[in-house]
Amino acid sequence: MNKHYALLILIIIGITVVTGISLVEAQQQDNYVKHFTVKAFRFGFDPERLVVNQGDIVIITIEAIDAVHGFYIEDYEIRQDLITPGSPETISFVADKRGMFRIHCSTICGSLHPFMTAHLEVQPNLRFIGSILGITGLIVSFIAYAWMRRED
Amino acid sequence: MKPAYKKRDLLKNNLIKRIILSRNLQPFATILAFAPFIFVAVTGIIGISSGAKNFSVVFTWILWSVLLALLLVPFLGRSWCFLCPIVWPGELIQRKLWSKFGDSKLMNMRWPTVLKNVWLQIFIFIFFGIWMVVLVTQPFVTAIAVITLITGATITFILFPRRIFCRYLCPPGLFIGVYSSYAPIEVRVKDRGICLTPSSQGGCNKECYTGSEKGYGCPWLEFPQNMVSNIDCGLCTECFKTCPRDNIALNARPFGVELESKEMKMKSDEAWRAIILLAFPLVYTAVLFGPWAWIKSWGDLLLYTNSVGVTQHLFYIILIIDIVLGVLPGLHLLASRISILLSGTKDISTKELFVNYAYAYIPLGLMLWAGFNFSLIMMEWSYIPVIISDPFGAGWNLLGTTHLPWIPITLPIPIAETVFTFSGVLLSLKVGYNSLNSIFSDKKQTLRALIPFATLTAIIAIVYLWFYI
Repeated sequence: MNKHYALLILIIIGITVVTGISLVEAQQQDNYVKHFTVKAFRFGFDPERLVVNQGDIVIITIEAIDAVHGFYIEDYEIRQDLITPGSPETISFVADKRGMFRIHCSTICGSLHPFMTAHLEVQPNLRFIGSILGITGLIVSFIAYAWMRRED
Repeated sequence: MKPAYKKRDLLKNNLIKRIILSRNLQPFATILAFAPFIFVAVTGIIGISSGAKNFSVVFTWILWSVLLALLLVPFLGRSWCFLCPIVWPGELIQRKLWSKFGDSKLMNMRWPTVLKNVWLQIFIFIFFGIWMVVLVTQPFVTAIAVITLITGATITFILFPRRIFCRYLCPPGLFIGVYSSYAPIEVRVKDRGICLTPSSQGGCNKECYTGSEKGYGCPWLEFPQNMVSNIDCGLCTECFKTCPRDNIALNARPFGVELESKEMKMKSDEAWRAIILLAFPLVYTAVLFGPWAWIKSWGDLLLYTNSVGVTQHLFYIILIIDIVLGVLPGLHLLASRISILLSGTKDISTKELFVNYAYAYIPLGLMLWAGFNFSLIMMEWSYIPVIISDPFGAGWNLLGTTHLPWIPITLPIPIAETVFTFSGVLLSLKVGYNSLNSIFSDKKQTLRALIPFATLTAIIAIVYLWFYI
């Protein structure tokens, strides 16, 4: 095996790992209470992305603007159906799971209702960072394997 | 001659052979499939306008499309084309009515040579794809789309011979065809030597193409003795019936071997087809599952009643066309150019590499489509028992499930999306490496050439995963 190429592969893996660790550390913050007011309208939420840190206490007040809407966060299984205009609802939870979780409207509100979504990102999003590292690793490993493999 | 890959003829099983050779199988399967699509048209027109409560939308875009992308195409290739109800009325007219009139010019028009490629099919697919926001949410529009397809197919069958519609026009066929090349099933001749033997020496009269009293000539205009790909084989089973030498096999084979086969003929239009179809799951995911409400409303033409809205919709159309026909093919072109530079070769053109490597995106595209549909069925499955109980949204409660609440199953989504994406990346790299290996003689050159494409594959995968994990 050519030493230069082996070194190159090690450098790529090294850079990937160091970048990943730095990204994780950069995202780690102290825990706070995070309060959001989310407006639900046909067919989206404002703000469309909620970013918190793992361990934060998250309080979300949801206001329906134009119709009866719902609010559901994937994986956290937090659900508030039938939020009517003029009657905001408040939910709270501890953001103990890391990752990106899609928020959906849980009450049929019109044609595009199944696709009325927003994102909750609980940092550090290790799942996504891990995936970037995983895909990079997969490609580097594939190239290394193909390089070392003896052709028939 | 030793086959390029391992295969096993399923027709060695007598039961499978009897089923495949039966003339009743296809009409029976087609009628079974035709009934729900007629119901799609009826419920779409006279049922409730809310898509989530109407059989039309839920059956077509949650049940049928998911079945197609997750099961039928990956495992059974063009099996849907075998029972496709869209072409049934046209094929019935062509075979049962038109055959009585002999060879009239009206019913045997020549398909223009300039259109003997998949470009028209690509544009029709993009046309439907652009209006997906309306199409997948509005029962009436879904019904119109189904009626349009059936009407279009029928007219084409009346004017042109065989399955010109399926081969050059059908929008779902664009998707089904290209990804059927990855499926672990194929129709091929057992021994090409037999096909090449003249009839006077015990060969045949090319009944697989011309037809005989036992069956029709290949409706897909394929010549089985030259077939090396599944892309244009509709699994109609006619060649099994017509071959007088029992020389056609229904082979089980490993996934994706066709794409790595040296026999595969690379075509420019098919390459574009693979790239465009790779772009669509990204676009669908971003528009439908992304957090941006503005893009959904820009895409929903029916929401607009003023000129500002129409302008926004035009921008939306330009944006989608840009991504599908500009950005992704552009990045692939750039990767091809860099690949040429890195490999240091002067023996191959950028265009040639662009076409050859595009086929490597087929496994990745298939996995992203599967991932998108998996997420869809996990999130929206609970609408299925609702519409079965009340298909028109008229307040019926036939099965007692009309008032079932929305129950998403979210837990497996991130894991499944990661598995689909990683598998797609790995399988694409494998196909891509083998493709490049057949172009470049030197392994180092091959690997250097692979780097830009691998980078693009990684970028596509990461962008896709951003929406799910």
